[in-house]
Amino acid sequence: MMPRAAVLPPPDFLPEPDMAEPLIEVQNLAVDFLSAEGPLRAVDDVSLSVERGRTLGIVGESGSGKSVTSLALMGLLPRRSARVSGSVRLDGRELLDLPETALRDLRGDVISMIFQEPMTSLNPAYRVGDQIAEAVERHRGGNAAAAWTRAVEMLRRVGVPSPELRARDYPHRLSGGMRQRVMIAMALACDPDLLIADEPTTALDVTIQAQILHLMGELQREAGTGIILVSHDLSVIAETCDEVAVMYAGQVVERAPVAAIFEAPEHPYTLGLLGALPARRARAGGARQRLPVIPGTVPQLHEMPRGCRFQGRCPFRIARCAEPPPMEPVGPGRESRCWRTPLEALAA
Amino acid sequence: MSAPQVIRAEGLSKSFVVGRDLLGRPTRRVRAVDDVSLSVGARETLALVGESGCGKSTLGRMVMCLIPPDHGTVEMHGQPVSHRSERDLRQVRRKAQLVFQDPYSALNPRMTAGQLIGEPLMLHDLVPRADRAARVAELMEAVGLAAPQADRYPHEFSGGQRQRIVIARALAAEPEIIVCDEPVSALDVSVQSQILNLLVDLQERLGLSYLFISHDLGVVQQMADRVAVMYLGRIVEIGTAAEVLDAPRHPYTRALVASAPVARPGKRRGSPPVEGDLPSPVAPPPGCHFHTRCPFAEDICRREVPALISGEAGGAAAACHFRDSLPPAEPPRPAATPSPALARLMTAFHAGSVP
Ligand SMILES: Nc1ncnc2c1ncn2[C@@H]1O[C@H](COP(=O)(O)OP(=O)(O)OP(=O)(O)O)[C@@H](O)[C@H]1O
Ligand SMILES: Nc1ncnc2c1ncn2[C@@H]1O[C@H](COP(=O)(O)OP(=O)(O)OP(=O)(O)O)[C@@H](O)[C@H]1O
Ligand code: SF4
Ligand code: SF4
Ligand SMILES: [Mg+2]
Ligand SMILES: [Mg+2]
Repeated sequence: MMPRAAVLPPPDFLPEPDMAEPLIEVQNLAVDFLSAEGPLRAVDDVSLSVERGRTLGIVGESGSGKSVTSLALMGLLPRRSARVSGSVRLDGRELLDLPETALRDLRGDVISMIFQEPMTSLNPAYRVGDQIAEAVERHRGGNAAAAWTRAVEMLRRVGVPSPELRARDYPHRLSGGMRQRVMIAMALACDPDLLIADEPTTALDVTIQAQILHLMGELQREAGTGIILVSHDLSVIAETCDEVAVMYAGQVVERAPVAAIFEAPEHPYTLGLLGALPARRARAGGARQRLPVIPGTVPQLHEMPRGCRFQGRCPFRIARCAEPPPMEPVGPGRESRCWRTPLEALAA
Repeated sequence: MSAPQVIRAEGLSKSFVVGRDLLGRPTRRVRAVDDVSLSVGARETLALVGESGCGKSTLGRMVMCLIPPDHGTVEMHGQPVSHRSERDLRQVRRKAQLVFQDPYSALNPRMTAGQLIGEPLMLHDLVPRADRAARVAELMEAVGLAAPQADRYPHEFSGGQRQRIVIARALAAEPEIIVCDEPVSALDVSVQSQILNLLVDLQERLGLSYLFISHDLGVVQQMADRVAVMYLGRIVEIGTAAEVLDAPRHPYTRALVASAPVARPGKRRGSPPVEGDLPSPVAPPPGCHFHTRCPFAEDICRREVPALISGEAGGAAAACHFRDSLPPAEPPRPAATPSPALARLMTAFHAGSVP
């Protein structure tokens, strides 16, 4: 493992992406859910990596496989009904081979997760301070008093007012924003190397969302945590991430540095999404302009086309698109899954 | 004002009992809406924005006369609506229709799309029985559904299609105004834009007015002629969309605009636009409700409720004691503008032309 001191410089000064060793490297991850009609592939051929101190955004529509991917990385999918294949290496160690007990030791310690709905992971029957302290005690040892002190300190750091008092509250007594802060305090109490945040602010109001995202950024800069931020909101991704993976129908279809995604998308689906964003649009001659749309809907898991999964909605489709396009490099640090890249040629 | 507004609400207030003692006497109340006035003109869209629990839905339901206000009045085309008159209420409840957020729970799962859309026709006795099927087909077509889908049940439709059914159902009553309560919040971007376009089309074709409730400023920008911003039960700023969103006066509106994430790559640094949590609506701070989080708050803000009036320079009305002396707001951060090459590519994509 790399010594901690080596990971402290702020992300701006990190070495070039190809020089830094990734904290987590995911290769060809696939998840099949067993169903009465046979296995359904919810995640297919997903490859990702995240470096220390950096944030990877995963963006995609509802059902595109963002949460299933996150849960697979955490080893949290039900072993009975979900078959996970591929490779997930954390600091060089293969996670998919680890037994459940070893994974449990990693979770909440080296790698932790924040969920969209905090009540799913906060136990309503325990005071929030106890829940954080318990995680600290389990992974870090020490006595209960020290763990409680750490819990209160974490609550203070995430901006919970009067943390000594709030630590004694039960989750239902806290507002949505406060619960989300508690989740972050709990996730970061053991200084994890990797934080997976699945829609951490979707349920929150924008002024609180801005506070929480700011807080995550600050804590990341202090500790050099690698973050995977899952969101369906391209604007949130734009403001928080270094790199972006765009998911469509269970696959990553494009992966690139954040600026490249917005300035020169290399997958037609990304292009369509960017165009459909409601924004401050000039109103020509008083008439309201129509928003560009992506026609059609996402194919269901059981009716995935054999070739490109976007073919039913893609205006750039050609005969070759009936064959599955591979994920291929399309420029420095970026890849796309489309037969027609570079797209620029299509706009000439 | 010449032509009477489609809907005008004056001084609406509503509180809910949220705690009772052993004898059932109320001990705690939430002032969900506190002395709010607004009006919506013909073919106009007034957007209502604000954070969770600020009273948007309660206000929308009072405007539609679905719940009676504690105080205040509602007029439709200049005619006061009496909550004691069944006829008045029936009239308003047909002319003002509601489309709300959750297309999953809004539809009875045991009725087909055709039955759901046909129900208001029957309820309000708008179309003779023999013509109902034809009218349902017409409505389905108007919202972009295929007539043969009339026999399907809600679970057989996608989220966006279900929202279309909800809209068709609202249109069936031949309304003049539709209260859209977060109509696209549960939908993905690509579906959201389809529904927003549909609402704009219907407005232009049928001359509808909208009271459009949303917390998403991008969506509001797309839809609104005027914008009202609510905070803890009160309107704190109201004006044209350009006034309120591009040059917000009230410190809360400024915080809201500055907090909204923008599709412009680059990590945001610096402190968040406002600190602190939303105060509890059960015990809102006295004076100006925003004073606990406002960077400009002074003593007077803790004592006196500011009036909702325009400043010396005119424009949007803002409920702030310092509406005329605040420093100018920072301009809103624009989304990234596409390069010419990207713009061409987007046009090609959305035109559906295959280069
Ligand atoms: N336990 C499960 N059993 C069977 N199918 C599942 C299970 N969990 C998820 N799926 C399916 O896997 C696909 C991907 O779901 P996932 O929850 O990852 O989507 P998502 O991208 O997180 O969407 P959202 O934005 O709505 O959260 C969906 O089609 C979903 O129905
Ligand atoms: N039937 C009710 N009984 C008790 N309290 C209520 C009731 N309806 C609303 N409230 C309270 O009134 C306040 C305003 O609620 P309302 O639903 O109007 O807010 P909103 O702005 O629509 O919020 P959201 O964005 O979350 O939909 C909230 O504090 C809410 O808890
Ligand atoms: S492979 Fe073909 S169908 Fe798929 S995104 Fe590229 S052009 Fe479109
Ligand atoms: S009245 Fe005072 S507290 Fe309220 S918004 Fe204005 S300056 Fe801020
Ligand atoms: Mg999810
Ligand atoms: Mg509401």
